[in-house]
Amino acid sequence: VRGFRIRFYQFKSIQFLIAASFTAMTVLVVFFVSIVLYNKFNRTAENNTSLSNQQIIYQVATNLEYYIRSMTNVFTSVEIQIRTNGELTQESLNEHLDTIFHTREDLVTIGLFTESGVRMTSLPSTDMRSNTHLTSQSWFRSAIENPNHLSFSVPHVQNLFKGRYKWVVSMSKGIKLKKANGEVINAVLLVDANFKMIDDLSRSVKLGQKGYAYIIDDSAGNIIYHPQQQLIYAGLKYENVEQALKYTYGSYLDDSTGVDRLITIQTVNNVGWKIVGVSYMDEIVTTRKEISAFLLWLLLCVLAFVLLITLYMSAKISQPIKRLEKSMQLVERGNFDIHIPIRRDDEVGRLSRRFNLMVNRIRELMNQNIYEQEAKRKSELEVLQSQIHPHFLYNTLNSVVRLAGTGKNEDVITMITSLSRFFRISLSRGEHFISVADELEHIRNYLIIQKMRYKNKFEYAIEAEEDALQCKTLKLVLQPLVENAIYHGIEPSADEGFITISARILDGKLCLEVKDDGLGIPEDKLSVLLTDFPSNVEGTGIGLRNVHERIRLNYGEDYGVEIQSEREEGTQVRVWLPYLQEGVES
Amino acid sequence: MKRAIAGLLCCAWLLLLSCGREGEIHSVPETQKEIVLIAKSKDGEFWNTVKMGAEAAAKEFNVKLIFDGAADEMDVKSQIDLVNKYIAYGTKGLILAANDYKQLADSVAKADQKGIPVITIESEVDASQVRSFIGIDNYEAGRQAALKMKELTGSQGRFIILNYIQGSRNAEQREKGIRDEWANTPGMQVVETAYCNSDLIRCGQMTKELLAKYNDIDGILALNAVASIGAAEQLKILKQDGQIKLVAFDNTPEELEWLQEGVIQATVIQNPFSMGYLGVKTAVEAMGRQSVPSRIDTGTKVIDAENMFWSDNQKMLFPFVQ
Repeated sequence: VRGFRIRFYQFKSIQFLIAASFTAMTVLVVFFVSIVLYNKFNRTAENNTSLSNQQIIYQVATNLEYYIRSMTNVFTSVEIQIRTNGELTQESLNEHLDTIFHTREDLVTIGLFTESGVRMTSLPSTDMRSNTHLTSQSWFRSAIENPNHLSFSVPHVQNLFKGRYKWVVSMSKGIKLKKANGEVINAVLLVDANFKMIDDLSRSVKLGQKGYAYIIDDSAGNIIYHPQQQLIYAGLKYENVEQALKYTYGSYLDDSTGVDRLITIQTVNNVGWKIVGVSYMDEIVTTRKEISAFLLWLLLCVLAFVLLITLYMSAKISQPIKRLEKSMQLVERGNFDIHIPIRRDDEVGRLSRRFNLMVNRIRELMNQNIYEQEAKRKSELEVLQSQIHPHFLYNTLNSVVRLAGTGKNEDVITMITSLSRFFRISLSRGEHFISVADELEHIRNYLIIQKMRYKNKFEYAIEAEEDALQCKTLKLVLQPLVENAIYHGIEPSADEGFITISARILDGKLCLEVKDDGLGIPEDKLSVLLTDFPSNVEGTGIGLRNVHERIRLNYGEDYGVEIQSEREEGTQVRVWLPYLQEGVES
Repeated sequence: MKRAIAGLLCCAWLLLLSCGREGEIHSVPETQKEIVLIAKSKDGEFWNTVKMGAEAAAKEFNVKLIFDGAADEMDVKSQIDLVNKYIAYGTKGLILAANDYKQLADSVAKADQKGIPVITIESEVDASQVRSFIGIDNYEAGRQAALKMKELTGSQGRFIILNYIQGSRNAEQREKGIRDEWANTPGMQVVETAYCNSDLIRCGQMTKELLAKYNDIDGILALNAVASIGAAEQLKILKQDGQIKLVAFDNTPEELEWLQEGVIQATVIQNPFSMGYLGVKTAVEAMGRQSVPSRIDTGTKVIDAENMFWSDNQKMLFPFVQ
């Protein structure tokens, strides 16, 4: 629970807020930039591929055109040979043709046939096969149908001569030959070429890793050449020729085979062929994957970097605030002795300074308050103290009048003299501190007066050590105690009482003692005598408490009044004061 | 603090640099998986074409193809040894044209146990572990041959079946197809079935002997390439070509020549290139844990001298080689 609370607290912290928002913002920006870059790159890559494919295919088309022109030239030179050698013998013609035939390795057949399909001359000059269906073959028919026009056939198997069957493209033309005897006959000239050159050409095409180029026939869409011709022939592979036929040149995307492919088309002039370049989009996608991997890395790096920076920065910002908060917590717990060190003159620095000022002011106000409170209490006590006298004076004067009435002049003199001394010491020129001797003198006069008033209901004794007599004491500490002893200890008692006053040095402290043998104080009353305000109307303890408080206010907690009492045995009140010699200022 | 920021910038720069390197590394070509095609026999026109198809597929699907086979189609034992050898060698895929329907079942099971997918081509193996069979329906091929012969001879005549290996499942299926087709035609009568064990000389000899034994034969059904060539050669020698009708199987160059010459009246062709190609393709798919069809029919066609140069048939009959 604690861990959770800490974490929760951290989530709510300024540091977290700054770090999170900065990181989120940066990542968002980088992300969008990446997407934009990625798209841009994609488009450029596609455009580049498309453009370069077009260039490659255009090159191939140019080369193919050149090849076809050279084949046409071969055909023409064969034709010229035949025309010029019309009158020559078969042997010399064959010799000439043989030269042409062997200079090129892509020639398979040269043949001259009559309109009815009878061989006039041929290379190779091997035996012809039976069942060739020569006159119904497409190259023968197109030569007869379009004389004087060189036509290119679709690929087919040449089945005219014994030996291995070969796939060829046939060039054929219907020509008129003048025989030696002047007779003009229609003939068909045939030149067959294999796919070697076209294959070489096609192999030189590099359209990515898997891309290739194939050639189709413009009119019917027959595939003239395909690098995987056998697969096409076996029906294991298909090319979407229909769509390619619609274009003369250019490129388009095709997904008819299930994969996205970029098709580039270029028409080869003269022969009516088209070169179709195929390149696979997933290869562009591969580079696309590369770039996206790169961008991802970049994103991660930026993220790590930004995270570090913001963590550092936010810590930098929030730490002084946290320190301030901690100091405030201490103040909250009551510790005002705090000063926050100011490191920088920024907002937090200024805030700290204000805080320091504020704490100082509070401390001052509190001290002032305490002082004022104490002063108030002291004055209150003094008022109480002064209140004692009129009552006492009234009682004493009453006794004096009574004594005077009965003619006891001697007693009147004693009483008045004692009263006079009593008041002299009471006033003691406004001094708060007097010597123990004076204090004892003061109490003796008081006791003389009281003894006369109470008609010798008690006896008393005053004892003092020599050292103690020289000590200083707060004045009028004994009088309330003796008053208590008389009123509460002796007066209610039926027997005659005895009060002992003594002054001693005990344990390095001054000890003034008032001891009586009166009634004693009930235990329940005794325990609360010095602490609580007394509840009974008799006012018992006001004097006692007064003395106790005055001593403690003046000398501290170590000093004060100590009471021991036992029922029917008496009470012993000790006043503990600091051991201070006269003449030595406290 | 400035030092700390400088340090961080350095870190970031290094990270970016390392990223840059990442981009420069080009994809290393994957190591090619090895695949083995074990043919019935190492040589022969039919198996050459199968090999061509397999090689085309191997190139396309980027696998390394090893082509091997028994010395001849009779040699079951050495083929079993071959299969076991390549299993031990750790091939990733096996394409098998089995020399025996039953005897190779154990080897196939063993390969499958080792996680090697087995594809059979041309001939089936009696093992449930075979993932796919690629070939023709031999029974149907037999029926087609029988139908063509019926057409050539006008539903009347006495015939010899020149079969190749006794006990070969394909051979049996083909013969059964013929006999079933003719069962309801009383005119069509098979006088004898002979087995010449795919031996050219033996096939020629047997043809000669049989023709001498039965002098009123109307036609011969030769159920594979070797038997067909042997029979055709013998007919040519005996100058009985054309008179005795010959319906052959397969499309070797020799047969095609005999067909154009009219010695062979018709031939039932299979598509060995497709078998090789599809064999490798299916094996690659099976290796890639794709589901493959349990049976692929590559189809048969009856070719005669009339239609052999039709554009579509040319493409099927003559392999496109430079």
